[in-house]
Amino acid sequence: MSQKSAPGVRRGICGLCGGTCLVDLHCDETGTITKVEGAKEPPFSSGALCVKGAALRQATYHPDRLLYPMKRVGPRGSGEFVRISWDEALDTAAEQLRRSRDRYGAKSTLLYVGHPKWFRTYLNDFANQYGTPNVGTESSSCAYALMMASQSCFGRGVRMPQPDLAHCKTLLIWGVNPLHSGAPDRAKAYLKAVERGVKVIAVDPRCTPTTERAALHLRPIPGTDGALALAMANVILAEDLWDHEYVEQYTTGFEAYREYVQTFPPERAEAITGVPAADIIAAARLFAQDAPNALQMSASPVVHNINGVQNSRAILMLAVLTGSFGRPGGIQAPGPGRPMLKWDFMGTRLPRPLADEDLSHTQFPAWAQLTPQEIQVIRIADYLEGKGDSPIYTLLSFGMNHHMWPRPDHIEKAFSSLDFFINADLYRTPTSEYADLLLPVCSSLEREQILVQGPGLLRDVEAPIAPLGEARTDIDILAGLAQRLGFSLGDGGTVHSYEDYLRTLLEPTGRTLEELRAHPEGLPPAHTPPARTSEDILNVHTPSGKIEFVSGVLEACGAPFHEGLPVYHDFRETLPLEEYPLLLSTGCRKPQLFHSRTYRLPWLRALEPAPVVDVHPEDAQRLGLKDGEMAVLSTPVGSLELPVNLDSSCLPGVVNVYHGAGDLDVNLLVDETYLDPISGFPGYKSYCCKLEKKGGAAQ
Amino acid sequence: MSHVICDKERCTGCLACVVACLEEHHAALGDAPLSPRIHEKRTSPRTGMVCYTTRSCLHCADAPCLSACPAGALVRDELGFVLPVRENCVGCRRCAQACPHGVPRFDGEGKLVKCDGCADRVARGLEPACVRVCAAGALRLSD
Repeated sequence: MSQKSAPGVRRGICGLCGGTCLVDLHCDETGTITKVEGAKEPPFSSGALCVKGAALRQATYHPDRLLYPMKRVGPRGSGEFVRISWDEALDTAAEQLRRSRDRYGAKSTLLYVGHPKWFRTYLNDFANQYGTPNVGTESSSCAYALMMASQSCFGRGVRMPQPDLAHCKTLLIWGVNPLHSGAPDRAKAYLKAVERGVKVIAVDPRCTPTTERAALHLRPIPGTDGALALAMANVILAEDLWDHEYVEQYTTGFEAYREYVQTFPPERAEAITGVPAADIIAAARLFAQDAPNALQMSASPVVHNINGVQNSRAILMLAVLTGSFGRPGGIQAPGPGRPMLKWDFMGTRLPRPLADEDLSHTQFPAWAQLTPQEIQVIRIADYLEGKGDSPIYTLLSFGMNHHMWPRPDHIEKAFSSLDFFINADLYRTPTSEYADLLLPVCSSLEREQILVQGPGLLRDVEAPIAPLGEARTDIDILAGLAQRLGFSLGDGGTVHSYEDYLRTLLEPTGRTLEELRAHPEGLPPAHTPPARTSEDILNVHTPSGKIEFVSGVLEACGAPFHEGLPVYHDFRETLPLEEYPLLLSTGCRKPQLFHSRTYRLPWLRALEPAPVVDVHPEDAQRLGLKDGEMAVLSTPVGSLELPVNLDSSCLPGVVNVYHGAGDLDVNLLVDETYLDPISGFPGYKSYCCKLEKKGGAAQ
Repeated sequence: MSHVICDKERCTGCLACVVACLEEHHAALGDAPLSPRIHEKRTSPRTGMVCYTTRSCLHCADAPCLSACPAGALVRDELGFVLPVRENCVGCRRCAQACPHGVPRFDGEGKLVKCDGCADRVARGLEPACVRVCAAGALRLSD
């Protein structure tokens, strides 16, 4: 159902990132959006949008939108496609999937979904019924490494630290810039905390508007975060600022941890990180002394280092020392129960049959334990070329962006090893050019959605616009394939359509789709899980049943670098720094860019030149580089020409480049084996490079 | 006269206002027009942090651009806003020379691009588009 019958203002949910911000869509009599504004619905939305949401109309109607199914007619990668019908597309796709399974076995098929989370459980269900354990997602290099770190300390179900910003007195915000990334609500929550008088300790190599508002800003060399956190713990222990009762009652492994932490006095951390010892001491005191204290991290920066999981664990343990986990004002604070939606992304895991035959469990044993519903696909070029434990012949993907991984050029070559590649997406992307079949999907504005607002409100937001062209929802595509393969999706096989999916979501809430459609302002659920107390939260699901300073899961892997303690390994020992003396940090946030999604949007692209290499003026002067001139950025695996942008926000010695820019994508320069051995995440934030004026050597 | 003020202490340099202004005023989607809202880098003297700040027209009470324009491309409306009238602009740039604040800018065709105070919104009791979109609450319409 959609609101598309008359001109007027319709409500929608922006899908440019995962923020699910409500938007007002002014539509004309043809149902075309003429203007986008942020919805005004206090207290949830004030009319604000981020710069990307402000360009939502341009993103929705972009000429690169896939409008109908297509099949390849030229050589793979040539981009030559012709339009076909949905029946032919789904029949062909299903036939290929069946043939691949019959000829090579089901696990020769790799299923993949990119950024979207909302239908991942259904992709898992499809994979399980089809018979392949090889399901991968974009979380192979986003979020899941931090989740692994969290779960290794706090057990199953604790994904990322959730700071209680409304009640904390001190906030340690580590590697996040909420003023330039994430939904505006997150920016507001930070600003409100600062206004309320929360003492903020910000950790970020760069200066950002977030760090400007901090009482204390620590600027470690990217990748050295673990040493910094261990030194803060050293101070907290040495000055007896830790919560003895909490540690005694709720944790295990403290003695081994204390012994290790004692090897990181502030002076040692200063030598490793570049942060003055006096600042480390001040930060530790500020954090530990004024309870309650909260910790905020984000999905990527700390884990985009080759010691990322261990570094993250060292940071998380600061919240354990101070008794903040599970306590009001801390992280994972007690609170009211929230309505559960069935088979929604979080909270549902369907066990994979044949998980012990999947492609990544040998190389990434901790991933297999802590992220059991999918594989780590970071070695996808190898897997596609048949260099994995078993070969891959067929790839079915929903929104794959091969530029999100290191050496996308290798991955492009590897696509030619596939028998068949089916890609569903919103747009013709660089990845789409390598597919055999292209399937057009609906954007967030083209499908009805259920939203949970705050702790207690269920909303149905009808689709504000009709699907563009012949676009279908990802669920409809999966259901269409399943039906042709002889099975049905959902618990009991009840999901045959998108509407079935919506009804299934609502089952645990006691509300029907009809009720919610009749009440667009929202309704409370008829059933809500009970509130969670501190005791509930502290009853953690680790092997020991306690919060673990020494991770039983990691130790049990018995693999190199899979230490139980949050051991600090210095990435610089692995890099040829004599030849490549500058550190390269990629992906640091710019408000108008969001991975590769926004380069196609002229309104955003035109705000400033992109891509560029951001260089601190001290480094630029030493290298003889001027603002705006072309430079050659080289790493051990390649080089690119990029214009220089002088930026005193950078940490001297570290240059920054935003990723995802097609042929100028800095990911082309990152070694595909430069990975965290535990998570498989690339060391995007702490690699090495040199920079020279184009046409002349550096001075 | 009433105009949009940016509180630089609150502004986070997110640039949402620059694009929201485009969304409000520019129907076409295929190009990259100049926004009436101007964004410029600023550097924090305390830390060296570089980020953007934004500004637009002050709608001066005695606007020198109004008197300088020979072509009727600038008019004062009933609310006091100085409105650009692009169809009349001949691209002479006398308004830019006259303006002490560097507000008038010119698009690819040499025609005037300038903030109109979202006069039609204000006349209907709505806030300017930039004020609505700002998550940091840095923008407001002065009295």
